[in-house]
Amino acid sequence: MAASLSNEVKQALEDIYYNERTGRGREALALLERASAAGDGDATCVLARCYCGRQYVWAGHGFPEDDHKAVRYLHKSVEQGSALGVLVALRSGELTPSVQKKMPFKNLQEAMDEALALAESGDAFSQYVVANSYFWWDFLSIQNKDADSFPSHEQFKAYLKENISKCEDWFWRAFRGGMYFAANNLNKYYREGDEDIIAPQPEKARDLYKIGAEAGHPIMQAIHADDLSEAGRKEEALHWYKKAAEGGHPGAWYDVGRCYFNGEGTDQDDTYAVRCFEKELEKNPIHEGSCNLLGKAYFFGRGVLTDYAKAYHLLYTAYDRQQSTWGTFYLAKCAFNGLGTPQDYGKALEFIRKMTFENPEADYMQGYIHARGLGGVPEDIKKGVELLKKAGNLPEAKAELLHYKKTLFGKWVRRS
Amino acid sequence: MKENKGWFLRWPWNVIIYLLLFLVLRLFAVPIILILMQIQQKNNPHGISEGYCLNRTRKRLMWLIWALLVLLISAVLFFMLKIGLEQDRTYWETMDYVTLAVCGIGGPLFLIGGVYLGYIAVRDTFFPEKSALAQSIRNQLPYPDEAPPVNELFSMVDADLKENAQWFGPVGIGREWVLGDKVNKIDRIRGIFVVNELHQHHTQTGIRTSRNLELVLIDDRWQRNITSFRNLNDLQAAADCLALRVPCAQRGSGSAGRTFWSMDEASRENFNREFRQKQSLRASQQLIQETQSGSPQDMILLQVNGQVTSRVTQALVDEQLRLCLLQGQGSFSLTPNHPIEAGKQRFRSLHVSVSEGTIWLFAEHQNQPGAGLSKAVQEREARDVLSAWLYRKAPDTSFWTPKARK
Repeated sequence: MAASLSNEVKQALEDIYYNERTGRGREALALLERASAAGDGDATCVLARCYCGRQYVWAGHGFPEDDHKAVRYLHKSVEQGSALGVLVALRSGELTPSVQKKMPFKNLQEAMDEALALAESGDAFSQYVVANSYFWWDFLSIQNKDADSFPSHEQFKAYLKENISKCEDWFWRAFRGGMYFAANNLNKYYREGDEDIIAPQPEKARDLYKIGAEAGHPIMQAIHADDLSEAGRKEEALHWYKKAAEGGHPGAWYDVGRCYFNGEGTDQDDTYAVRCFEKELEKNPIHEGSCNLLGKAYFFGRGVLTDYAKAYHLLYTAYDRQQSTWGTFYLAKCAFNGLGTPQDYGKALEFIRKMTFENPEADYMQGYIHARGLGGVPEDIKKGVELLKKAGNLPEAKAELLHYKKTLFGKWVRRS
Repeated sequence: MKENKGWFLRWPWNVIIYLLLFLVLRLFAVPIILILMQIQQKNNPHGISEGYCLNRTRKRLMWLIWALLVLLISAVLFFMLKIGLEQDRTYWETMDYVTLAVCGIGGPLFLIGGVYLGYIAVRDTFFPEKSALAQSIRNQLPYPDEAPPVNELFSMVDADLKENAQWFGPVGIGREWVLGDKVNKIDRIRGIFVVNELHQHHTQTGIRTSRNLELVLIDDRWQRNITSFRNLNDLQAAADCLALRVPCAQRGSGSAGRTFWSMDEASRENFNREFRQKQSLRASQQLIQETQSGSPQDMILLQVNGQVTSRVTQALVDEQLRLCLLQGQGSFSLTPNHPIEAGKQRFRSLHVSVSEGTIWLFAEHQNQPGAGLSKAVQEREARDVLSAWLYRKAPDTSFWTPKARK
């Protein structure tokens, strides 16, 4: 049973969590796999987390999300005698009786004691695991206690409070040690408290992400930038978006580009915005926001020469691959007018129906299609006229309306 | 507007039939004549088969009826004058002399009016080159005195209306010309006014109301053309349509039209100058827009590297072919935004692929995705086909073989 983490695990934790900006995530993963294969249970435990997705590891590393692998490694880490693995498995609901039988610890408290020792030695990851055990009430299982173990409910609550509150110090130590994920749970702890046991202290949560941002964690920089943007402090937000982008945080180049595209916190610079979107798309060719805004840039010739085919391709990528309805209006215009794609009234109608806002041009297109019975819909002049009228003062709608007239019997017909 | 293949009577047989019906059946002929007129309008709308302009001038024959009525009134007045002159005027009062004076003045006036109406009716119907309609077309040309013969004048307007007209009651609005009771050239229109006036007449039996619906167009030479309407909706729609075509023209009601019409020379010059300035501004804004969007962007190129663009140039297409030939393999395609037609065939896309140094062209059918015609070609022919395709010309597929793409 390890009294300290191996050098491989320490190096991997450094590259994956504490200093993730180095961009050595893949190397760290390979290191962990070798160590795990050699019997290092702690390496297996960290490896399991790497496959658990962006809630457990920075998305910027690009690790694939694989639940089956994660569970397999977690079970293996327990078998290999990792105290951290036992606590993480308990937290994830994967410490089933059959898995628990294979752990080399007498009981969960023994594993917890070892984890505490690792935490006391200064390892941030261990501190984070220990903090979680207190935060998520796993101490009840570890100490084999429940409400019936106490003579009164008040005493039980006191016991809960004493243990839950221990998470605060451990989370801070983990956070300061470089385990930035601790800030998320600390934020939750401060903002929501814990039932009627721990009162919320939202003022303490205020600067959490700022601290993480200043410590150089790209994800914290991005979250801090989001908070600043929401508060209307656009210039500062842009500063942190840039930091996050330079640190490789996924989506940050899009945020920078969006600021320049919309003139938020800076002067509008379409050319630079386009470069930012392109940088984002190099890393993730189906990034929804970048596809949409770059598509809009090509549609209107902002920062680039107008290119309807590129605009359609980008907007459709976001629509098709990310189910984004943001660009459906522009897609409808392309399909209706044959811009960058063969003219297709049926497709135009499909896009218009997916729009989430009203628009006179959309009303005009719909009216035109229905009145003339295009795109596979039956001719319905009455419906078409209603939609054309709804388009208001749009010149195209007014011109199209002139093709129709009402007969004496009140029926709408096409003029000769 | 397409010609309807239904039955109708050609001029002058329709007029002869109407006259005969009236002579035989008198007033009972009226509903039959109205039904025949409806059939004429349905099967030969606006006189498309004879020509819109000729049909319009021939309608002036109806004025003969008004001419006859006016002449009848004139005859009555002359008769009353004769009777009056023959009577013993010893016991005449002032009113009797007034009546005599009215008959004496009114008779000749109505006679002149009746003769004039009759002359116009006959002139416009049987001598179209002298008609008011033909003159209105000449007035729209840069040099009215050097205008071509009437056949050419009419066919110029007819061709435009046949291809492009939208009809609003009696008015047809084409791309260049407007046909009402007279003709206007759209780009010369400076004022579009709608007259919608109610007139009340006090008669012995009560008050009679009549409505005056007219479209008044004033051109840049301050010539005014008025067309009467029976339907207010048609009138408004015609005015709206013209306003969209000439957004810088003055628009308003009948009284605004009278004010506009009575502007002095200096004001007219001012207006024309401002009009030209507004038009230039619009034109330059449109040019800027077109320049920014580059070429028509009516073609989509899927390049060898998988990227798409609609900024397609000959040079870019040539580059794609060069890349494929250099690598000995590769493919790209050109898809127009509207299918390209060649006789009965319609193509949705042209695919070019190079395999082991051979260039294959595949023209995909519009209605059969994946199916089309294919041919192996030399480089020169490939370039020729691609160049023509960029100008929306389909290749000669006589020797191409049907194929289905995988």
